[in-house]
Amino acid sequence: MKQLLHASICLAILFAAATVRAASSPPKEEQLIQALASPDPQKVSDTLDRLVDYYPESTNAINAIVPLLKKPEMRRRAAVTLGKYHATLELEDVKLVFGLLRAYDSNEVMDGLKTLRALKEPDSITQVMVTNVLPLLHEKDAHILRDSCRTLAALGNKDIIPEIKPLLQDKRSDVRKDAQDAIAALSAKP
Amino acid sequence: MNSSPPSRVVIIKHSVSLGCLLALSSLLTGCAFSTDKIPLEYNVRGAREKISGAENVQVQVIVTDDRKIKNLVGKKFSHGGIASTTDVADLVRTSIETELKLRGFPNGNGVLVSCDLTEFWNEFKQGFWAGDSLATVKFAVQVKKPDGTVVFSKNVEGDGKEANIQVAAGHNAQPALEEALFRAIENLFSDPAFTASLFKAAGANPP
Repeated sequence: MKQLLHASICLAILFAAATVRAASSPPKEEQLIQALASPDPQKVSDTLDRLVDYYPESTNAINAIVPLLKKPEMRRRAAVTLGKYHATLELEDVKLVFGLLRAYDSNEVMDGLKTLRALKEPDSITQVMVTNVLPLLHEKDAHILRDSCRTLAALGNKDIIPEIKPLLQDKRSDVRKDAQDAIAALSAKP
Repeated sequence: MNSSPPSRVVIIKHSVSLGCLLALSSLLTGCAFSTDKIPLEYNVRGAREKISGAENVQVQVIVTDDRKIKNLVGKKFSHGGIASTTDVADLVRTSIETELKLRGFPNGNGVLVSCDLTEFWNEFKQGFWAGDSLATVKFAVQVKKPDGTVVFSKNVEGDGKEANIQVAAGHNAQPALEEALFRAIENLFSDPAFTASLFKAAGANPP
């Protein structure tokens, strides 16, 4: 009787373990990519998070996410995810990310900046990126100024140091600090 | 039981206290009965791509102020108003001119962009814990050839919101109004038919 009880408990534990394993097994990449076509923006947004979590090296995912940049309601989320993938985009697609830099919401602008510095682009496109970020150095918002400095430090070269220098006189110490760091990083570049 | 009326000194003391309280509340919350004056501006953000051939299309922008209330841009809950120190019709005009210039269209006598400003207004919405400042900017745009023929027509609207405010005053209306203007201009320039119509009105080929 005791043996039967032990066997039952073991079976129950095995069944529970199998259930948990089945529940936590990652969704298939193809399934997630198909879900990107959903008309529900929230579902697409959740899928983008899951894709980058489960398949951080997937090139298929990048190809499936790029078209979402053309949908205004998905552009920001798609751009952020492509940044996490360190994707390489065509210039026309990068121009869609520039749209985030013109947004009224400063958080959207910062997402655009973070995306730009995370992408892996050739020099020709990086120069266009720098040209599009430079006007943001005239913004009032301290967060945008700071993120612009960081982005320019990552993408730019010594030539843009004079554009950043006026921020060393900014009344906000955190802006001055990021400007100083950006100038130091750019000065160290060949 | 003493039922004699309060002395004159007590009445004066109470009146002074009440006056001080009123003055303090006015200082802390902004006087409900006065008109707040706010500066408004159009905040250009980011770079714009020059449109090929735009340098050959001269554009003149005219804005007519057709608002029902011209001296105010909003009202407080009570009798106080909110006025702009900037001429809002002029602000709409310069905003459109700025966007055109950034895209490469020079200012000049050629194509006419005629705008009829019908609303530039902020309302305060009362909530349980906090309120919202809600602004709307509306104007009708027509693009005309030099001979007056209309080639483009659109009703443009933009909304702005400053959420979770505690005081219905000018400084909270300002960001909502500036956002509403930003959205309205964005709404106009995100329509590719608008810039295409400028070329059409000038008799030039769009890029």
